[in-house]
Amino acid sequence: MIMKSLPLWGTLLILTFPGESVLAQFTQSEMVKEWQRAKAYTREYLDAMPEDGYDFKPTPAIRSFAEQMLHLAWTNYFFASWAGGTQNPYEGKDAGDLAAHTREATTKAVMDSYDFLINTLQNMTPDQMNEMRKKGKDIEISNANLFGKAFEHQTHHRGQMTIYLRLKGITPPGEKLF
Amino acid sequence: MKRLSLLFTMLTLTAAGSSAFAQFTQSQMIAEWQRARAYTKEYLDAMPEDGYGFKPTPEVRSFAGQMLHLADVNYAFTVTASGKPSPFGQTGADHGQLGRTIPQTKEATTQAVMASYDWLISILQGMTPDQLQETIKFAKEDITRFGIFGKAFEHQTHHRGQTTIYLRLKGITPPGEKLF
Repeated sequence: MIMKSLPLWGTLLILTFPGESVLAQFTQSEMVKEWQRAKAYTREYLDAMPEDGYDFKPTPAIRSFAEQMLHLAWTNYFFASWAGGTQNPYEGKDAGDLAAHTREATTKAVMDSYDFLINTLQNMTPDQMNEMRKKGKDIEISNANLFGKAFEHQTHHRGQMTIYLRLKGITPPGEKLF
Repeated sequence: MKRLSLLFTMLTLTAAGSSAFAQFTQSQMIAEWQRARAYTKEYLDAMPEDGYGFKPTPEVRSFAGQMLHLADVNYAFTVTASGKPSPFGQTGADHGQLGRTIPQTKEATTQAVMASYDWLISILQGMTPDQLQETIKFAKEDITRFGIFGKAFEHQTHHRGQTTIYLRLKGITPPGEKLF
């Protein structure tokens, strides 16, 4: 009896500790909550810029405010469909073609991209989240980490737009880390 | 019977981990922070000495001010996440020390910013999984110590992002986005 139970024990122990190297864990509700905050934070930027600022560029070499926002949106779709293994609805489209560069159309396109991403995230299982993917020859990355890259990407571009607002004389929304 | 109840305990322990949605190993987390450090260094290198005092508009921080704020907050979040005082005795209440005390030169700013990443990374390396999963109160919310490092990561991304436009306004092409 004892002997027979040992292999089962061993199996259980292995099942319990496969993630011995795991240092930290996020729950699904934590991740969704972070993305909902990110969506609300970006919405504050969209709201803060007046209509006539949507075409504004600090220098001619770079994206307008609307183009920054649509690039952010396009990349939300890109990462969400990559990590989720779903069809990117804007595959083959340029970010600038996602929507008209008006305040209303841009705002809708950007909010839709967050909804697409959050919906994808909510439909992932823990196994899918921790599944590794190849990026190029050398990089292996989990789907969870791809969502992390998407998060970093939108933070980076929203950050840039802080200065667009300042140059238009607008006090940007306070940093919404929580 | 004794064996069965133990088995149930094991099963319960296994199932308790089912709320774990996404898992990060120490080496992944360290690699992300080392990338962030190298990415910020590219920005520090890209701005010439005479741009360190540059402000796009008078109300905002200079380039050096942004970078030193980033460094100050790297320390502040690490102090919160670890419960350890910073190397210069900061315990979390003050996060403007470097911005007030470091000369806003390229050399001094670069050194201070890199030191903030080095300290954060060394503290993160020394934390155990149990410590990182511990929930604490911060800004009136429950958050894990691990989550605090995530906020720190977002914070430095946000401010580095802002300085992209500082470089552009100085006529400099910024470093490419280094997400990997």
